[in-house]
This record gives sequence, structure tokens and C-alpha cells, in this order.
Amino acid sequence: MVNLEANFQFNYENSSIDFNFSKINFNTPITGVFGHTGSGKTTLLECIIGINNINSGYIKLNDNDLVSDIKDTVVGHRGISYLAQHTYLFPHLTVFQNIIYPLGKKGQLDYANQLISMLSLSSLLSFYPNQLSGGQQRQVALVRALIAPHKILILDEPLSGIDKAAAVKINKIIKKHSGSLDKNVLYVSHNIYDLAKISNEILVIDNGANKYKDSTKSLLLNSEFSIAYLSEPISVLDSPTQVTNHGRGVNLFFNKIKVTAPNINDPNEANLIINSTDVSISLDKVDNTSISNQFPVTVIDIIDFPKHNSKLVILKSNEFILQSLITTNSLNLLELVVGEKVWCLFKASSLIS
Amino acid sequence: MIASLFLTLKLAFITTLILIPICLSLCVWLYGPLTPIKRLVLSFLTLPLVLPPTVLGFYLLIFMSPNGFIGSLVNNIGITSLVFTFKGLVIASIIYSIPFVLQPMYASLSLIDKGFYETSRVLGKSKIFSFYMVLVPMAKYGILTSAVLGFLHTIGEFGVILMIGGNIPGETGVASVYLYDLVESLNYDEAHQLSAILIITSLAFLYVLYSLSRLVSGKKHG
Amino acid sequence: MLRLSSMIKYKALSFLFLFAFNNSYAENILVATSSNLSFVLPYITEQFYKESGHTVVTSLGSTNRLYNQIKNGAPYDLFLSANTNAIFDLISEGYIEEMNAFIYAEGVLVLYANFDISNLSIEEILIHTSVNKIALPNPEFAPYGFAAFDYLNNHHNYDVLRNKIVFSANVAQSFQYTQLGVAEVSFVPLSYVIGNNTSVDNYVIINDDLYPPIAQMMGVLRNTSNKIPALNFLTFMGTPLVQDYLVANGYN
Repeated sequence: MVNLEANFQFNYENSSIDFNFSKINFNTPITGVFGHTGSGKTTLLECIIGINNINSGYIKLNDNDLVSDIKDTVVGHRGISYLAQHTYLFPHLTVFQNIIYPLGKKGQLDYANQLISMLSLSSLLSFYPNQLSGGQQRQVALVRALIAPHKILILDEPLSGIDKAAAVKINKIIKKHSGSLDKNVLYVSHNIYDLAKISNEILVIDNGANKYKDSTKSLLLNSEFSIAYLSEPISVLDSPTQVTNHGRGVNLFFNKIKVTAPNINDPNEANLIINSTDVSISLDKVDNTSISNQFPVTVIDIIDFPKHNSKLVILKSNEFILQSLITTNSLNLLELVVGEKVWCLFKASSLIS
Repeated sequence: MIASLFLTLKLAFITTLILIPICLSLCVWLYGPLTPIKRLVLSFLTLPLVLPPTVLGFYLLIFMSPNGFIGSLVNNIGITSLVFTFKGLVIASIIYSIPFVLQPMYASLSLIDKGFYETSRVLGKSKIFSFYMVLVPMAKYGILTSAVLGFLHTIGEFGVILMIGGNIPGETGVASVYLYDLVESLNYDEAHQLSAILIITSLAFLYVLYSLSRLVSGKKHG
Repeated sequence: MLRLSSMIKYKALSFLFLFAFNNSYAENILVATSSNLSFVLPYITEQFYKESGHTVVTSLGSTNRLYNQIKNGAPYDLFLSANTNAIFDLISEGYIEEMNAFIYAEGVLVLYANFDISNLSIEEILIHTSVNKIALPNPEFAPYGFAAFDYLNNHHNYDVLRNKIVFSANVAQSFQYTQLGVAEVSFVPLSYVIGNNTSVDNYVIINDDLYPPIAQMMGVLRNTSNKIPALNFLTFMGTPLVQDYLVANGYN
């Protein structure tokens, strides 16, 4: 796995940021990197990759000095592959030539062909980049970045401007790629939903420093984080034990609990997310209702959520933990207390995939 | 007259063919932020653009004569003299035309979004590979322009050749000097003919060059 | 030998007379002159200034080029040509009045070398093994070159020497070639080797019977606006002061 340590200063036009990362271990295949615009995350990436120069200090990757007073490893020799928001597909090469560009003379075409068929890009191989749609270009660029024989892949907002169908494919590829041994993906985004869908862990950067680092589920349950960074808390439903299709949607089984969801391409490829405002609470089971998902849970915490003058209720069952955001009035009406057994309800269409 | 034209074309072709790889290699080095030493080198290489050709020719003559800097060097490797020889003209033309090839080439390469080059580097390719496999194909038209300009500029070369050429038919008697002789000896009829040929040839080259620009910019991306 | 027409001689005397009484304000006269005179003109123009108060501004060029410029209206007052053809042409074309032109000197051809040639005959020099190149100004348009070419053709074996021959653009360049050593010998005006203080070991004067005369002719241009000063200069060139100076410095 990978560890990163950085302590450097970077000068912008009107300001500078001191980056301070004590040793961080990236133990999981996909690590999300979350931060607002201006948090320094893009700069951090560019400095790690080497397309921007730091003004003083050092960056160490796996205990190797990438950059410091004594050493400046050549870009491309740092073992890091990078996909920027601008794809920079080479306009004078075909899609295929672009994809195999990183391969050396002993290039392994197998992996390339695998990825090409996974993303159904075979029909596009002889086209030139300017003949492709934005989403297609992004997919090609992603494959090209994956082909590069580097252990680490950094993706900067890979889904920005991408339509839903392409986004699904891209997530699929990222998950698959990181699944192979020894490859780490750093997925950078300011969109928590994108990150929550496929990251195993999330790192939160603010003003050049590491604010939080936790598994996705734990971080999203961290109310301090939610209050500070999100417009509303969200919850993740992952690893269903079984999935069946019923025509107009799918049924996900989490042990014995059945959750109905709208049509999802492949629920194993990405987590389902639900906004806390879409999760409702009822003291008793509700019959004859349009809400298809309801099951028993226990209230394990009630937290003040100042933003909407609401209360955040944490609900737990054996299978998952969900967060529900309700008004203080509703809380008082239901006279909810910690430990109480209640029912949790949400519509199938509230599930985000 | 035809012989002089042939010699002119031969000189222009050889000079251009030599200058293109030289300037490409220079561009590999120059590409990127211009350090003080790069700025200095670029300034020197642009000098022939602003110096009067006769000054250039004058000093080349001095350097190439047997006691001069270049002259004594080549003596050591067995060449008797560069003055009055075609070889000498080639060397002079290279120096004289280098800014005309280097400038447009460097400019067109620099204008390409450096993200492309960086991407190639990040994907693991070396500086030289990235330069020749990404930047050069993307700057195709600019490089072609620089070749044509260098070629035409050499055709028009006069002052320098007048100084070191000696106007030897078949060896250094290029069209520009031949034209000078025609005018000097008041041979205006032939002078008009030769001038017309030179003008029309240059126009034709330039016209073709600009016609190609439409083709290339259609495919270009940045 | 001097070749002054008697009429000019008469004119010279009368104008010299006028000199003394001529209190006209100082003029600048613009003189187009061939480059081979570059060594002797400074002294001559200085003396003329002392005598007349007029400043001579010289414009150097090749004879034919200046001829062409004059025909296209160049505002010269006088033309000093390195040959007679240009002046005669200008006379017949009406740019110069016949009576305002005369031959004021004759050029002398020398063979100049960058090594000691004091003990060698001209033929020996030309075919010498250490001589790779023989430079002369282009005979097509340079009077000294024409003379040298004629000399080589008629008194030496031009075909044998052909490979060594290099035509330069003008006498100055021929001289420069030999100075730099790119042409071991060259044909240049005597005025050049004298003006450059060249050692007599490095040059030999060609016998003037052996080549056509290089007559230096001058004329006052018809449309000059400074006719009097121009004519003054014309006659000044014929005075003993100038003539003696010219002989001392490489002309006849």
C-alpha cells in the first residue's frame, strides 16, 4: 500500500498555503479525497505528480523523497498516473493509439483490450478524439491512464460533466482497476456523492491540512464532518447479500431485509446513497402506503443540526445505519428518545446510485 | 542563368534539410520556461535576423579565411578552404537562415497547451519522446512553415554570399549573385527574366504553404 | 601620361583666375565616385576645401551602378567614373555636356600577393603551386577587372589558369581576398597597394603596354544645381597639385 507525507509551501498569486500532512497511509484500493474549491487539493495533486513546483519543503511517497532540497524525481518516474479534468487526449492519434500510448515496446495489450471491451469502446478505436463526445473522451482518457504501468492513479473530478450512463461505466472501471493487487486509486472530488459511491476511505483536505480520514461509512456518520462540510448528512447502503431484478426496479437483500430500489445498472459496482432528508421515522409500522421501504430500527443518537434547525437522528439495524434529518417539531411530536425502537421509511426513488 | 538557379535551389534544399533537425534539437532544449542561459542562446541565434548580411558575410569571410577561426579548424581536418566553395556557402546559409527556421518552429511549439506534453510525461514517457511524439505532430504546420521560410530565405540570400562566394559558376554562382552581376553589367533584359523566375517561384511556394493551412487547422486541437 | 585637351587647359587657367575673385558662399557638392579612388580622394577634397571653401561629399559605388542611378535622376553634381564608357554614354544621352568632361588620370594595374614575389616573374607567380586562387574584379562590369582579364587572356594561358580564377564584386574585395589569404594573388589598382603601405615585395606593376588603358574620366552633370563649384572641382582635378598627387599615389 501507499503512504504519503508532505510538508511544503506553495505560493499562489495572492496567497500561499502551507501543506502539512503527517504520514498518511492509503490502505484501501480507492481513497476519496474530498475538499472544497480552495482547499488546496488540486495543488496538492499537481505537486505530488510534479507538474507544479513547490516553493520549499518536501513530499515523500512511500518514504521516498519525491521532491525536496536534494532531490526532484522526474515526472513520470514517480510511479503515479494522473487523469486531469482536461483529458488531453492527443488529437493527432486515434483512440486506440491514445490508449496504448503509455505502453512500452513490451506493451501488454491484454489489459488494454480488457478495458476496451469492458467500456464498449471497440467501435470507437479508429476515431480521432475530436469525433467523440465528452463522456467518451473521458472514458478513453481514463483507460489510457489506467494502462500506464504505475501503482498509483490519481483522478481529478473524473465524472464532472459526464452523463449518467458514462458515469456508471467509469465508476465500474475504477472499481475493477483498483481491485487488482497493488494498485491504489486516489479519487479527488468536491462532490461527496461521487466519492461515497465507490470510495473505501475518504480523506478530507482543508486549507492544506488533513482534517479527517476514515472509512466512507464512518466519515459519513461523523456529524461534526457533516455539519461542517455537507449541506445535509447522507448515508450509504453497501454490499447487499443478494440482488434480484423485478422489471421496473431491483430488490436488494441485506440478509433478511429487502430494499426496493429503482433500476440500477449494477448495484455491486457502486454503493447506494440516501439523503437524510429522505429518511422518515414512524413510531409504528405503516400499512397501505406508497413508501415501499420500511423496517425496524433503533434510535442510537440524536444530534443537533443547526443548519436547518433540525435534529439528526441516527437509526441502526443489524444490517445498516441510516441517518434521518427531521425538524425539532417532529422530534418533539414523536417524543423520540435514544434507545427507542421505531420504524424507518424511505421511498425506493430516494436511493441514489 | 539556369545553372545559377539550379545552384540556388540546391543550396536552399541542403540548408533547409540540415536546419530542420538542428532547430528541432534546439527546440527540445529550449522548450519550457526560459532560463537565463536559454534566453542568451536564443538571442544569439536570432542575431543573423537583425544584422546586415554584409556584416555577417564580412565576418564569415574573416573567420573562414586560412588564418581565421573556422578556416584553421577545417584545415586541420583536411579541407583547404571554405571560401569560394559550396560547402562554405552551406555553412554561411545555415547561420544566416537559422532564425527564420528556429523562430516560427519555436513559436508554434510553445503555443501548444503544455498539458499535452505534461500528460505524456506523467504517462511515463521521456522528454525527447514526448517532444517528438506529441508536440511535433501537433505543431506540424508551424514546422512546415519554418521549413518553407528558411528555404525561401536562403534563395534570397545575397549579401553573405557576395562576400564569401566568389561567384564561381557551378560552385558558388547562385542566382542572387548572378542577378547582381547582370544589373551591374547593365544587362537588364536577362535581369528581368531571372527576377521574374525568382519572384514567381517564391510566390508559388508561399501560396501552397498558405493553402495547406486550411487543411491542417481543421484537424488541429488545443 | 596626361591627356588633357587644350581647350580644357585653357579653361583651367581661366577658372583658376576666377577662383581668386570668387567669393561665393561655401557649397556642398555631391560627387559620385568609383570605389577605386577611395584612397586618394580624402586629400584631394581637403585641398579643394582649403582652396575654394566648398565641401566635397563623396558617394562611393561601382561605376555602372552609379551610371544607372544618374540615369534615374540621382542628384549628383559630378561623376568620377573608373572608365570612359559611362561618361561617353552619359554625354550621348545628354546627362553630361561634352565640354565639361575630361580624363583626369589613368589607372595602373598591379598583381598583389600575400607572399614575397620580388624574385619571381609574373608567369611564375600565376602558376605557382602555393597559389590556389587568383582574384580579379568581375570583367563584366569592373574596369580594372576588364583590364586584368584582357591581360591574362593575351599574355598568359588563361585556360591553364581558369580553375584558379575567382571574380570578385569590386577591386576592394579582390584586395581583401588577398589580405585574408583566401586568394593568394589578385589584380588590384596601384592606388590600393600604395594607400595601404604594402611592401614592394608583395606586388608587381603590370607593364601598361600589356593591358587596355583604364582611363579615369569625370564629368559635371547637366542638371546640377551647383554648377560653378562643380566646374571648379572639375578644373581643380586638372591642376598640377592634384595631378602630381595622383601620380605619387598610383595613377598615371
